[in-house]
Amino acid sequence: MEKKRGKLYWVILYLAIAATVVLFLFPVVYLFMTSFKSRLDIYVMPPKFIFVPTVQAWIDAFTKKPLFLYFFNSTVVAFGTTVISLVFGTLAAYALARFKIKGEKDISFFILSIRMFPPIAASIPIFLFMKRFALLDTRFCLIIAYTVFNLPFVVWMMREFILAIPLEIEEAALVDGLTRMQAFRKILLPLLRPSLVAVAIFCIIFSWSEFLFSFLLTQTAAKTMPVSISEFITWREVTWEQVSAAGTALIVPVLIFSFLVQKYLVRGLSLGAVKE
Amino acid sequence: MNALTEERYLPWALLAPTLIIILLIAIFPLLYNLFLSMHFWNMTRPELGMRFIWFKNFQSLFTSSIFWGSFTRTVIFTIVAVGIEMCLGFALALLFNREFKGKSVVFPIILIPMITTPIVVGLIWRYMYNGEFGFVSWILQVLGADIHAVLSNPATALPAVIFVDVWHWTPFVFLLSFARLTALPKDPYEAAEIDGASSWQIFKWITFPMMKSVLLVALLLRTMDAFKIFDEIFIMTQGGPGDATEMLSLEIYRETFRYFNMGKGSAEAIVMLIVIIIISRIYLKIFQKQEAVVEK
Repeated sequence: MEKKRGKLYWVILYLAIAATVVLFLFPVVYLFMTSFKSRLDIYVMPPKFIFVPTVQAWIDAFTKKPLFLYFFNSTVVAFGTTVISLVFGTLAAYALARFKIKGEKDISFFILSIRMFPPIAASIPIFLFMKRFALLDTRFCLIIAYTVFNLPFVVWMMREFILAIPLEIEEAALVDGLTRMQAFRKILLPLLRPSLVAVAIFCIIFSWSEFLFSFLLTQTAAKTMPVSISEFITWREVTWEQVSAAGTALIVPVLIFSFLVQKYLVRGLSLGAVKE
Repeated sequence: MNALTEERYLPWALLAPTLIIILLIAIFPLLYNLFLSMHFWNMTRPELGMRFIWFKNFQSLFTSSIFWGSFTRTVIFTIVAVGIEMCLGFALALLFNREFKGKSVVFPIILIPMITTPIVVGLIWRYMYNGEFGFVSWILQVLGADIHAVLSNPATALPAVIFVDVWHWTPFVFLLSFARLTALPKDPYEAAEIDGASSWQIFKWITFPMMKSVLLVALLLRTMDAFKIFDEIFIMTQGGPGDATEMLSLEIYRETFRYFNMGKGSAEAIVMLIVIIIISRIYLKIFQKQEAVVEK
């Protein structure tokens, strides 16, 4: 259905696309640029686009605040959460996808509904709970809290991926005398490897970006990167160049990881409701 | 192990860790929330203790103008922001659903806002909106608008925050719509072409009906998320100036973690939860029905 298009069509099309790109890309680029500005180049009107880049802001941000510790915390929490939710979630997904269970549909949707929970509503009891067991300000309590919000995602995604694998492969193995768990480990898991990687990356991104729980449940020792960014902003002043450096450091890994799972973004973000 | 017992008990053993964690960290808190919402408990006044007061917390909520203020503000924010995101995102997907040069480069760029950590989104825009040296303020100045510091003006703060949400999440609607658009079957279009249908007729009778389900999914997911927005607004305005951008989740935060009115905060959380449950019930209903339909 290729139609002959006039010149005007192309001009308008490319203008619209260029405008979209600028609108969506510019703010992030601007943050990145700001992190290489000196303080003098920031506090001017009109904003400067040509300036002598300096890494002073990066040095300041990482030396004046224990950002390395927060980075480390973020990493530990992200990986801890990912491992736990991936192990438990995949087992549950296997059960839901491959066994006849009474009320299987209800269980699936019960698990999914947890995802819709507003975190702020859950935060009050979780805060009191963690306080009661002296778990506040530990990485462990963050891992537990994030796991709950990641599990529904993992279960749903892995269920989808398992369902996509033909049952016959496993059945053949079962006939050969393997137990269910052996079939799972030896046949299914190797086939699921790429899916597991994709789901893991999603979990890492979610935990890496989470703010509210970390803000409420940690004070100093277990603080994560997003919370540290909120603390650059005080009523007295905002050190824009430093917070831009910290912000850039926070989103660069996310952008890289997202790029790796680009293929799965649609499915992942709609919880499997939309398949390509 | 006997194969039959394995078939019967193994799935439950596999499900157990997940269900236990969910019960412990999600369902138990929910019940405890319900319990708290019927109590008076101010953690800064321990001498007053914790008293069971039936529905007094809810009563005082429903007669409080602060609560209704933040509730209606959240509803307005959600409707306006999600409405714009839906229209823009879908329009953008339609724009993208044609051949042009550089598509593969432009596509991932458009997804960047959606992937950016919410806290950083708030940070970026707080900086852009800054009255003294912010980029947006400069643009407004150049355009001759007499507005400074958009976020510190009660009249412009809410629209500014809505704009940020639109910036952040339009790519999400775009992504879902676009994914579906490219997967649409070709035959109906060929048939319409032969019948000499106009582009508007093709859109109205072929494209839109086939896109309905995916748009509904996007709409409901966005509605739920917009309704519980916290991070971006917390960074940009903390609900201010005054209460111009105070959303329900920020109100709950203030009540519990600033004033330590655990009972009242829990009551607000319950109200929020009920609203979300209503939206998510609709979502799950449609989802259960559509699950087979949305597939290619």
